[in-house]
Amino acid sequence: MLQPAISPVPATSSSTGRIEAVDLTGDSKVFWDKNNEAEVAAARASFETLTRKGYRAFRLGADGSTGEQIREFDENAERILMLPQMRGG
Amino acid sequence: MQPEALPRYGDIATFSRTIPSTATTDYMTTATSGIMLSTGQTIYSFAGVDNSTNGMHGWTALVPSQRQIVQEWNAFAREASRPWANTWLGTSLTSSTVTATNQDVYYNYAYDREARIVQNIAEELREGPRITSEQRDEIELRAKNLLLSCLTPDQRTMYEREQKFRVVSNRGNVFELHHKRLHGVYRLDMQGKKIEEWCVSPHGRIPICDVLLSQKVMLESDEDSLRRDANVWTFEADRIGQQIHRALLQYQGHAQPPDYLREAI
Repeated sequence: MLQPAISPVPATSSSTGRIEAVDLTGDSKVFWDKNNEAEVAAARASFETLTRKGYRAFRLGADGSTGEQIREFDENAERILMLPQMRGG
Repeated sequence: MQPEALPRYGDIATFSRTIPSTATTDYMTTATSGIMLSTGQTIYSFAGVDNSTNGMHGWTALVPSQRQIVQEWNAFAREASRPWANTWLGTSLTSSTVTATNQDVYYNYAYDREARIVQNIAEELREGPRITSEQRDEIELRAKNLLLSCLTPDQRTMYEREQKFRVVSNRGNVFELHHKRLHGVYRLDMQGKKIEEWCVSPHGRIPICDVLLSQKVMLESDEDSLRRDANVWTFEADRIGQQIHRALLQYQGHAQPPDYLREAI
């Protein structure tokens, strides 16, 4: 039986979220405070840039559990994981 | 048969008629496109296929240098004019490289599989700047931390111990993800036996832990979508391929394959 994940990454506070985009560097992170309009706008812009490149976005639980795929930026999300397109090898 | 021009060391080149390929597997490799791969230090792989005789036949080897590629290629080219069965058996069956026939479904299976590996590696080599080993270690560590942050305690324990972990997909199927860039996704049956091998990974030269994370998240959220992107092989196909290989070994030296082998295929 699968158990809830334990996260070695410090959990963000309830007012902050982060995008973790998988890339050549391991991952690139964008943090935002949902009470800070400028940060939310910057995170939204990053989200949209990546989705235009074909990335898929998934809302994760704070513990890393997989949530649903999302099409629009969710400023209330705690973690958004962005994955490049998959291809057959 | 000679390639039109051998590429310089470090090039990624394409031959018009030849079909270089990939690392040795336990019974067969071939590929569809003529790509020679190298990073400037090590040429990853090289193989030849000729479709000018009776169907296609294949040969493959891991070769560490340009010089050896040329030697291997010339050896292959000399053999290529011989009947296909002899060519294969004479040039391909070594302790590290064995092969099987092409006139069957199994051939298409392996053919497509290896071609895609080569193409993917070639694309990755074209992407991005070269990074140092220190940077690579740092990147791998970052990716590993991200992966671990998304695993359950059981998955983490299994991954740390065995370099693999299991995932239940959104369709309820159980998969085992191995720490491999390619061919690391296995669908398991109720007894935990591997029944399918999937080869699917994200675009780009990303760390292996990110590959695993991508596979995990995709399986948990949309197995059907990942299956559409993946190349999927059943272990039944492997079994058939190994039978063919054994039959070829038995008939080593025959210029043409025995009738029963064709029928078996």
